[in-house]
Amino acid sequence: MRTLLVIVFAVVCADPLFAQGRVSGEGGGGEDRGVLGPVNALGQDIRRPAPPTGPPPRLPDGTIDLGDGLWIGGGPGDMESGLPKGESLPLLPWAKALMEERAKRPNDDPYYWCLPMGVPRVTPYPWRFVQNYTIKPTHMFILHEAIIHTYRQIFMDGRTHPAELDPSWFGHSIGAWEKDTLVVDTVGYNDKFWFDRKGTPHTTQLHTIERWTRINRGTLVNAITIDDPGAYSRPFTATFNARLAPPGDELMENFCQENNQFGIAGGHTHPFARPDQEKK
Amino acid sequence: MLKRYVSSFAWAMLVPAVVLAQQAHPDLSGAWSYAIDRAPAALKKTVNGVVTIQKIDQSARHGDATAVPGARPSTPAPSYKPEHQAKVKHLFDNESKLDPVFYCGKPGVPRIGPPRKIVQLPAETIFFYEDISGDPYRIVPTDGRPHRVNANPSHYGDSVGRWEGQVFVVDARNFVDDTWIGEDGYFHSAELRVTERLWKVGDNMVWQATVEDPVVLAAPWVMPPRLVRPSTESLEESPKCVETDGAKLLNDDHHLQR
Repeated sequence: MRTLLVIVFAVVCADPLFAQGRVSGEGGGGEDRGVLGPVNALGQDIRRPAPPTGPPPRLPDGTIDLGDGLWIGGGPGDMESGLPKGESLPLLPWAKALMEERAKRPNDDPYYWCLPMGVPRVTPYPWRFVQNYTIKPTHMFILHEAIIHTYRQIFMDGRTHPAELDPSWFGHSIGAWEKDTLVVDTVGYNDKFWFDRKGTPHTTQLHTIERWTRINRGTLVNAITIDDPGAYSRPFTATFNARLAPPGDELMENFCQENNQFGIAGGHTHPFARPDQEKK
Repeated sequence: MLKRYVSSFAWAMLVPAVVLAQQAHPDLSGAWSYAIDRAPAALKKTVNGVVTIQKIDQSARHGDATAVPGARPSTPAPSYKPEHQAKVKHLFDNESKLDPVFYCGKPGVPRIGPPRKIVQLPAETIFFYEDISGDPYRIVPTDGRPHRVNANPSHYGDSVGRWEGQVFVVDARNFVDDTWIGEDGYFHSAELRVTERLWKVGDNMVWQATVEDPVVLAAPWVMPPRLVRPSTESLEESPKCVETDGAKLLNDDHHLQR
């Protein structure tokens, strides 16, 4: 069974199929329609109803309610796919070279070592906001089902970023509402995580501005601006869509470390790995 | 326009109702002092054969756990069935090699202790923790739903919560069996069931857990209560444990890394 799952995983992630049936921001490696039909990273059938339409719900004070369900997607499986058509990533030469080097060593993706995916990489696992715990929230949280079942903290009390921050996987986030858009400003990242499976890099100078807009009940748009003069010649904005999961879906406990059948711990290499990289 | 007006009016009526509903019970929301399981009162270091012992003042980390109002009679250690006591001793004697948390394992419940932050919502309460195994969280539904029937066993179990007067009671079950319920080799089976009680004493919060495991324990273990002080420190992302850390352990300094 384990072998079957691995084979299915490899098949659905194989590069030629990656371009098929992908919705920007809703993929990330596991949700694409492969030759075996719509399956996720576990080889399980995906039979999702269409996301609901209609106006987004609001909290009693009129704020858009982002916490009424689970979201799927909203981050890059491929950062470049979120750019406007015809644009490419403004990588500095060293960053481009690093990305090319990473392409040769895809097993180095921290994701495959069960480390946090950082920001904005969330796919393909569900996540949710925790928002409405007071009438005037001082914090918001983002709960991730995977890959280490952890959370992000967003300060909503008007504070600014501290002058000195220890670099971390999720950085230091402050948020505010601009009309119906939640704007999350984050600095203080480490440079360990990859933006996507292609190894799109960043440095500790990374500054992200996420603009989350629930354009209807079932769709949440994340327009994220990447400002990292250490790795890019100019800031750029990529856009990804998250889809509301069906009612009743709940976050499960998912610790990659404990059941990592796909990554290095499972004795398997990345589907893009060269034959000579195959673990013996 | 009329629809919008009616909607706004409905919300305006609902706001006080929500506030009242939230105030019907004590509000446990907020940040609470970090309280690792039984942190040592002293650090023992051996360097080039020279042993030094540094006493640690725990008073700021742990409140006085004696005579806590509302606490149930407790014992410092669980009582294992005779046939399992040898295993406990073996695990205890070899703790530095066998304790799963030394290898980035999850402390699980109740070993992770009281939450570092609580977010109390009308239909659910969320516990946030700081732990090098990955800063976990737990979602505790309080809307009267039963335990999930098809959930996989997990490190932090399947929890439901309810209020018994002024006490928030969390019933957690459906655990995997590879965590310990405390240091000193306190293993458990998959039949583990943990009941946590949380209540306020003044500005402080008390957390007390009762552990039941009919497979290995001779009787339920009522753990000593923890009196947890409110904290003004925000949650902070923990450094991530990696599995190679275990081999680097020289002493128990890691207990007070945070």
